[in-house]
Amino acid sequence: MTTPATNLAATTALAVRLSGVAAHVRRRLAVRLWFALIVRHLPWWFAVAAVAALVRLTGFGLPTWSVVLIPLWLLIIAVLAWRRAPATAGALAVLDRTLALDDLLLNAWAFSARSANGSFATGRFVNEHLRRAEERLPQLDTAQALPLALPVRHLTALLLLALLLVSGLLAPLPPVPPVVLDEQQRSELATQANDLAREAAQVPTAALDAAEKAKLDELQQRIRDAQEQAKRQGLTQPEVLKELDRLAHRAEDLAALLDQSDTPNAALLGELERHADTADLAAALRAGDLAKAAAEAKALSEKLERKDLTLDERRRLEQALERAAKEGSGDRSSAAQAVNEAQKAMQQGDPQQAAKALKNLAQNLAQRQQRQDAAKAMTKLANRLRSTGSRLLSSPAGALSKLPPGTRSSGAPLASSALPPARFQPGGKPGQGNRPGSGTAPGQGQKPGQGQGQGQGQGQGQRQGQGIPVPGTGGNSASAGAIPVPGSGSASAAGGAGNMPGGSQAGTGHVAANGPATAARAPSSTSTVSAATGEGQSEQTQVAGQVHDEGSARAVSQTPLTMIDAEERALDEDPLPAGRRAQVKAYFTLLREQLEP
Amino acid sequence: MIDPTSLIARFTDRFTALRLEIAKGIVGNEGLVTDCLVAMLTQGHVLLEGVPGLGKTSLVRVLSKVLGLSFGRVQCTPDLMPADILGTHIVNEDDHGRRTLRFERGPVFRHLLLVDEINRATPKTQAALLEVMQERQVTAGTESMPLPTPFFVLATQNPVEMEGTYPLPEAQLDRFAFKLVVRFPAREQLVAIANRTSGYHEAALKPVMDGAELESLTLQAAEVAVSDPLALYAADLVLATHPDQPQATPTVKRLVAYGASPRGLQTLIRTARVHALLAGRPAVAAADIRRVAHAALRHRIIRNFEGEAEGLNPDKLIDEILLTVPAPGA
Repeated sequence: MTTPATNLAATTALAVRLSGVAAHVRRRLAVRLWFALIVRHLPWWFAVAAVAALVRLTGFGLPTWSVVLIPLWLLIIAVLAWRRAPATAGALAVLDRTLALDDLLLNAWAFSARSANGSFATGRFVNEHLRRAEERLPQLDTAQALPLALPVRHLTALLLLALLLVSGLLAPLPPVPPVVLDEQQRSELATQANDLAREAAQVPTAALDAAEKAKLDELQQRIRDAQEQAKRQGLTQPEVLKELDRLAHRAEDLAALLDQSDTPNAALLGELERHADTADLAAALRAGDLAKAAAEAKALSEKLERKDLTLDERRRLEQALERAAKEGSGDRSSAAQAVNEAQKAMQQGDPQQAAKALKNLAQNLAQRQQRQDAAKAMTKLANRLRSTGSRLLSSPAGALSKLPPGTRSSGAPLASSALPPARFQPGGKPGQGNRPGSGTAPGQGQKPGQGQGQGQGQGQGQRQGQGIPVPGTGGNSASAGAIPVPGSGSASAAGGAGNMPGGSQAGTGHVAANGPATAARAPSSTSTVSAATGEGQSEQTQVAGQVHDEGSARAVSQTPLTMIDAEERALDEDPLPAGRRAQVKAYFTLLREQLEP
Repeated sequence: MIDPTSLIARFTDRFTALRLEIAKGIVGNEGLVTDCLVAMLTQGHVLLEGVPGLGKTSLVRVLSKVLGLSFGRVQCTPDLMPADILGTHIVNEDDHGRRTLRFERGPVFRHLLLVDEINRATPKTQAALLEVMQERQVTAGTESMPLPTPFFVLATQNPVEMEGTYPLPEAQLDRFAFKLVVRFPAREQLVAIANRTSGYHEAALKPVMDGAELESLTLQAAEVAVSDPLALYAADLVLATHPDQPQATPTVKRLVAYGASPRGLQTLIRTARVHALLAGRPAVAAADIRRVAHAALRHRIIRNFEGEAEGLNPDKLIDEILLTVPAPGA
């Protein structure tokens, strides 16, 4: 009898046959694992389908390329399943377990493979085992042992998912027919366009150059065209919204062009504020009150033109301009250039030329004021254009967001809420408050009762758009976004009616302890003291009594209570013996009872 | 030459005959009896652990009768000396009045030695069994005396009474092929015990085989084939008991100080071979290795301080290892 063990060729052949069986089993195991992974991932896919359905309800469909995800997923898990499928020994062991063969195939493969590798396995029990394996091999039915059928319910779920994703969720959405404006809407549009055209026509154009005027004319023409188009039948909402959006965008661009900043640097302003003659001009410039700045510049130029300008006054002005010019070197603003020119003229002993430079500055500031007014009007017009779109769709705001995808003009902001941050729009006129100390400096008396306040910090505060509670501020003087300046009392108190610095009423704000010191106020006058014989002259600067910003709003008795609270907290945190802690707390309680009202 | 199928059939028959004869004297505990026989068919020693009165001593007596082996017994106490087990030289006077030293053999010179309550003997006495169990010989002075073959030590110990005991050292434990836990009999078995053994006559047992046949069966079992994947599986099981090995489970890493020795692996393979034959197979299967894992490994796992404090049960640990270590193809 020829047994496999005695015949190397037969043993090797058995090894090959077993390897074939193993490869077959491995393939089936990989497929079964693939099925298992599909079933495991099915809930996730249904969740994805649910989300896609929700997205679709909002008006968006999945992109068609999403359909690739399904075969991609199937491919990935197929690769994963193939990699996780057991190797030859593992596959045979699985088959052994499935058919309850007690490792018959695994052992047979191991014995025969060992023979194939050169170390021929011998022994009667090895031979017997190989014989049994060889006998069993023809009866093996791997298909029956490892069926590949996917359970019907899982197959159904898979088909349902595929159906959902392919037919329902991925199909392109039908195009939405544009909504045509009805008669009433067109009438409303015409009215609105009429108002807009009127508003556009009212934009001040005095300070605009030719190019800017051309742009404004074009915008006005377009608004008039829109007025004409409103009468057209079949006008759709998207068309109207798109056109209004485009017009608003143009108006905003023009406003941005008109409102270009020309503020001198802080050092120059600071230096000008130090001198009584130029302090008001600097304050107005700092506050962004161009009209007042223009008036101050004009007043300064007139002062220089005066025939009776004393030598002291001239020297004082010369000194002020010289120092300011030094601080403003490198500054390209019109104010800095004017100061520089005036300083040079004064240096050359030509006050008239200096006056001319300052007069030019006054004109420039006045022109900028006009441009700023025009910019405000354009911004207002842009806002009106956007709100017109919203009103037409009977929606309070954000109607433009209803524009279907693709109808938005390139680069145009969608809704009024998406506008760029509002440009500087002073909420209230600087200097509304009474002028602190204007009545308390005997002999100064500069414009008493004119109600021209300092307003330092107001312009800056308005740009930042945040308010800081400061002691001594009045209740209703500052508009939204303005920093309430100490001493800027209510409008009713304007004009320096009270002789009490900081307004007629005590402030109700408070500042934290160790806060920043109150900024120095502008000098009320500077003068030069004539020198005695053999001695040099000296300069004297007077600073009139100013508002003190650090008035406390809390009662004196509140301070020890706060301190006691802090110490009690410290007691709880520190490792003080419990008995001692109670004693100290009792002491504090006694103190509190005496202090608390 | 007898063909393997007949050999396997004969082996199974003889084993069954043994089991049937033993069943006349021992009620229940089929698993325990099988395990004892499996260990003996690999020339392994057995440590039986159980509370008093469960029939441990009776089992050993029955085994000796059925296997036709000579039987020796040592009752361990703290004052038991090595010489009491091994034997000692005594002065012998011959007919001429000359005195010579003669070695008086102890109870160890039997085929089957029952060491009762082994943990009551002092370490010195326990150590005397080391050479006996491994080398199967006794050395007295310069003379080495081989023990009869086959030779088995079946020791018992009581897990409850710990006072006045000397736990067996690891080296000693490792020499036992199996540590078997004798369970309390079930209700039906108790009734059978009552019916069968409450009289004054013991069951008449006859020897089924002798020592020579037992040895031949041992040699047959040693021929059973073990493939590389299954040898690897057995090695992985052993390695999994070592906390410093990658196969170790988290519990092993935390609660075990030392794992099973290579002798444990030998026991796993040898005893699995017997089980393969009993199942009619010429090669070992993974199930055979799993079948003997508890008996072969439980006394070879040394718990660390934490493990002892937590009362770690080695059997549960082995269950965890069997679940964790992947069988071939898993």
